[in-house]
Amino acid sequence: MTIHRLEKIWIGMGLALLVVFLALVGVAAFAFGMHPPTGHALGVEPERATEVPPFDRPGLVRNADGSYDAYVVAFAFSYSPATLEIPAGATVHFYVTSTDVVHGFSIPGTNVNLMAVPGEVNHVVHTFDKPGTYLLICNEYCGAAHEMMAGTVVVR
Amino acid sequence: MEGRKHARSKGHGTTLVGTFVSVCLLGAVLAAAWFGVFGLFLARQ
Amino acid sequence: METAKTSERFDRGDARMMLAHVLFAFAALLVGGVAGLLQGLVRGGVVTLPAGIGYYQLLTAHGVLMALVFTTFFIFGFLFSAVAKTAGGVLTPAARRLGWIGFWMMAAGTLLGTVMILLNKATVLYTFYAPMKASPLFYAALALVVLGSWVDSFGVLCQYRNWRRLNSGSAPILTFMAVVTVLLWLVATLGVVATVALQFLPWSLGWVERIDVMVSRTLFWYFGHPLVYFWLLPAYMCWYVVVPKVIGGRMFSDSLARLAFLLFLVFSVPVGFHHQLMEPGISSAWKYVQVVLTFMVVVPSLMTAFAMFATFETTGRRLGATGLFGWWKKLPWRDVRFFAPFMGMLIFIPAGAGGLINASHEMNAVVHNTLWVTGHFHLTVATTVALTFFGIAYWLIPALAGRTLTPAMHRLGIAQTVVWVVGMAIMSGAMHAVGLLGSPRRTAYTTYGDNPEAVAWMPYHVAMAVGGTILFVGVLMMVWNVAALLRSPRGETEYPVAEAESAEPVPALFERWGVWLGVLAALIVAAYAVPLSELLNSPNPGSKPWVTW
Repeated sequence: MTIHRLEKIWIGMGLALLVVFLALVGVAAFAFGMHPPTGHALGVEPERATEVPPFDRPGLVRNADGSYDAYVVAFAFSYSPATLEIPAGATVHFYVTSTDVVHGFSIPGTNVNLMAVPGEVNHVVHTFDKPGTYLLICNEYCGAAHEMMAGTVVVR
Repeated sequence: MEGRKHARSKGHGTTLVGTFVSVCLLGAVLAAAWFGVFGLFLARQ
Repeated sequence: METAKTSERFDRGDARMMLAHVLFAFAALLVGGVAGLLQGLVRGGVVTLPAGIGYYQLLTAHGVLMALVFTTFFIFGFLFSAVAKTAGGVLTPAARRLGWIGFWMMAAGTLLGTVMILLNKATVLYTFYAPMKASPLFYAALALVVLGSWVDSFGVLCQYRNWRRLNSGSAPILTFMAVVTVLLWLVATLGVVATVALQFLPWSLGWVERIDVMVSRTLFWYFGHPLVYFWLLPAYMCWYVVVPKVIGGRMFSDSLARLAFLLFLVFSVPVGFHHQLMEPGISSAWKYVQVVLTFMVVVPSLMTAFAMFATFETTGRRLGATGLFGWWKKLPWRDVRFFAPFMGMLIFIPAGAGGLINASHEMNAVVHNTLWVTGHFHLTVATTVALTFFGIAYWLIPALAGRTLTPAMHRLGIAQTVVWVVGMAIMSGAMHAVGLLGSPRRTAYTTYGDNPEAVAWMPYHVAMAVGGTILFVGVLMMVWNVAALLRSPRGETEYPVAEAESAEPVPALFERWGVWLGVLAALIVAAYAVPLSELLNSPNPGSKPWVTW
């Protein structure tokens, strides 16, 4: 099976480009902490998530180091809390679950875009440098009123 | 990658230089799109 | 050099079974197209739906009919024709019978599923994510379609086994490629069959109280990624073997084409996590492992791009072209059997670029669940694959029906292709742009209470409605063309199969299926065993059913 010299060069270049892509996203994630969202099981029945910590008190909690933890419950068809007020410059750890079906949790204009899965707690970090009012939308089809499921993130 | 010299083809009776340039353009489109969105990702971090 | 095989007509009984598959596919395209048109008009604020049909029902129907029914039926019609034509000239009685049984099972499943969707008992979209619970009949319908496709698959393999028994040497390339496609499908569908049979059916019947959502998603996407290669490989069969014949040339490299298919077989499956990058329960490390494997599956497409251009250049130069790009002018632009698949190839450039971006680990956050993703798959399956399938239909339908492909038909076909590309450029272009701005996919008309950001998305949604309407015209044109092909003058139409450029021997290893399936199995275990077992052992009690529509 002969391979033309120019094809070998092309495949080599292609592989090199793919390696560059993988290296960039790999370093950004594993060296600089820019991971995709992930998380673990809550440990109780999904429909009982609001009966146990931390989702029994949804909302923002300030940490000792100045960062915030935001505990949000998604449900058909809103969020609890539906509005988050965050100081500009704050780093926020979002912890999101659902008490019913899978929902989305996305803040357009940022990289906050995760799946709220019942029985699981998904986690992502974001630093809100720019003040403003951000739309929080459910971008995972969840039922008849899916297109009305939204919240607000106010950064000031 | 952009600065590579394009190799002359071996004698297979015909040349594939046009092919090589075409796929390089294809690769450039891929790279441009990818770096564009990567830049957007970093800007939104 | 024409071989006797490729100028022989199909056996009429064989042709009827293959035509049944192909025509059912175009019927699904029409109904799915009506749904798509309405979706675009609703989202663009042009129409409101009457009572009795919801946006999400239309969306479910559109996804199922376009991405599961149109594709699967067309593919098996084409694959049967390919193995009949090149592996014996006529199907064995067993292969033909399996083809009919498969057809009727899939048709019954399609009808049942469509009825359930229209009755609003399965408004769960074509991915039917748990814990949204549809009627058990919907899951049964899906199972019927998939099991019918298994019967079709066995029919294709039956024909191959018969050829193998009677011949030595490498299988003819179209047959080889059909076998790879079918093997990929059988391995891939194990995931969706497992989740439907072991999870959704018992749960929706009330036999089991809770369903493990993350496991069901993981099994689905184990299937969902190779599904797109099941769509792509038949298109590649046309590009590698049919198009060179149409342009008056030869296959650039028979062996490299086979190798590309084997690489797809091996790398298409263990990569489902790149559809789950924003989900909990799967670590960043395991997601990254599957991202790396995903990038490996780009390599055979890079090989394919080179082979395509090389075929064009070699043929063009042989026809007297000079200069760096003079060979482009030698291509038969007025031949729809070339033009339609070529436009599919061209669109695959932005389509593939988008795919690379989507799979790039944390970068997926920019596009996940936005209309960018919808724009992406309308380029890949709804343009690259669809236009190639349309391009096949122009010669396959008359070849099966004993009719001719007339010059008028070429003109109609090229017009249809142009309309499709224009409509898609507008619609998919707008989708990509507004997706980057954050507009969500799978969402009915809304401005989120006149939110300024959402209002700013509306012009793009209007552009999508415009593009979608043009595409619907394209659907109508294609359906008209299919009807016209069935009524064209009786005669013979060539089934184009190219010869290889050189008579290099094909490595015997390529048909040692045990080796390749063994490598595939090892990769699946490596990519899935640990993360899947973590999900199976997770302390999530599971979800009860929800009907939120």
